[in-house]
Amino acid sequence: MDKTLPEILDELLRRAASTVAGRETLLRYDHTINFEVLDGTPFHVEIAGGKVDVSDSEADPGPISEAYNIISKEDALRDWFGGKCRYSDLIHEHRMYPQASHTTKRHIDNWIVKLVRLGQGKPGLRDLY
Amino acid sequence: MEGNPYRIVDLLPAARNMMDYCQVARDEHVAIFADTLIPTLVTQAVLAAVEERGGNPVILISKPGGLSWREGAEPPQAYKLAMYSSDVVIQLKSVEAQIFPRVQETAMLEHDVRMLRVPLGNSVEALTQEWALMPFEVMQMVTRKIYDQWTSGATSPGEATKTIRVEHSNGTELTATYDPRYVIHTGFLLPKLMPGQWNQFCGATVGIELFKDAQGIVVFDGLHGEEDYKMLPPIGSDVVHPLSEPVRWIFEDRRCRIEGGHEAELIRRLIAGGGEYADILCEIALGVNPKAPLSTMPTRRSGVTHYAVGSTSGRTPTPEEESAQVHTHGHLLSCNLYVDGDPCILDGRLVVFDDAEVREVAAKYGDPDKIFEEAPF
Repeated sequence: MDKTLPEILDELLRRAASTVAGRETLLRYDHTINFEVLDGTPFHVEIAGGKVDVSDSEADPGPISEAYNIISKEDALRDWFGGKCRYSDLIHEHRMYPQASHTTKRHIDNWIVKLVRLGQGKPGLRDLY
Repeated sequence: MEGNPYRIVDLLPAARNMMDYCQVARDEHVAIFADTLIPTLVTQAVLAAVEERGGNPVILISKPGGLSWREGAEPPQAYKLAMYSSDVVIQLKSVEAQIFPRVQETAMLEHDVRMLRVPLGNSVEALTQEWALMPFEVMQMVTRKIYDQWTSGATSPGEATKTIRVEHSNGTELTATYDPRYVIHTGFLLPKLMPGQWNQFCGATVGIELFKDAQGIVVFDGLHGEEDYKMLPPIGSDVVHPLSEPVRWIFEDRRCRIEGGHEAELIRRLIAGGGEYADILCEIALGVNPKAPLSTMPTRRSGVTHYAVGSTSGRTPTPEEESAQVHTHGHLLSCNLYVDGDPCILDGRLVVFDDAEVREVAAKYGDPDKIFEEAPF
């Protein structure tokens, strides 16, 4: 049976946390990211003090300075977590809808993108140059 | 140089100030993007300021890109590679418009780029003026306070709505409701510019890009941000001011009807090709810099509010797919603006300029009364 999205994200973030770069990146912010799955079940991750807690339920409402919401569908999230698509491409293809338009929370987007890439065992795209 | 009274040294204070806004550190790779309308002296001054900070600068000059925000627009490969391989991108812009947003966002989200956007028009003088010396710490505090007011009580997940009301004696009377999670801001959110963030040099805009409802009228003093506007007086500038006659946007259920003279006709033509959602209110925003010149950067000027219909291409923030191939602006020089009944602008002045904490920070740089004194239009 396929792993669920929270299981996949949990695995990715645990792998990220096993690297020095991942541990440093996890410490960058304390934030809750809720994934609103339009054709599935919501899940969320809380990252605080470098510790990761992925849950297979919707996050409790939190102040937007500490909480973020990403709306998408199951296949888009699987494509991203599976390394088939970049997060930024999914946004522009209208398959991923981060909560804040423009760049209010783009540092949080950048953060989770980096963590997922580290969990995939891929270098940051910046490091390819 | 004949005909140009300025030297690099005249522009260096502003160029050094740019370094504070994007926080260039030693050994960082910095790409300075300019277009052919940006004076060479400006790019040289910015390059010198980067080198002073120990950064590794490179300058790329491309054609002016006012319309290049349209979906699918791709820059030359070298442009893209320079952007993706830099720690910091400084974008010197001759037109107040989005430039290749997909590439920019990919750079910020996937490549850890920090970005500084510098709207300059095409004059050297712009960098010798007072607006370009506004300290980062002051602008960060001002914008953060406004952002907090516009988003107060918002949660994520959450369904809260807030109401923004704008009024002016010229006939403007607009009420719009919005989801506060969609208030836009820039890197000014935090005291430090983080990977994935961008700043607008010397004053961001705070704004809203998604509305649940909009009813009423906005009567504009000027328009800005389209290549097509350069054919209107003053010729060659994308800022149209004053208008030959008032342009009125009349909103009903978020949708806009446009009235006015030949400027209104041009806007109608712009949105006619923008698709089903081209006439929807997609932005109310304000500037925060009391010295920003109206002629080149009305959107940065404190107390000036600006409005757009259409959408922000490529970044439609909800699954409803209200995407339009247009995002066109007008601005209002003065107004009263309230968020849930609390004043944000009164008689064209930002209320936050009188906030005790803001004035305490400003006092580190001079007399707060002088810092927040608004330059004449």
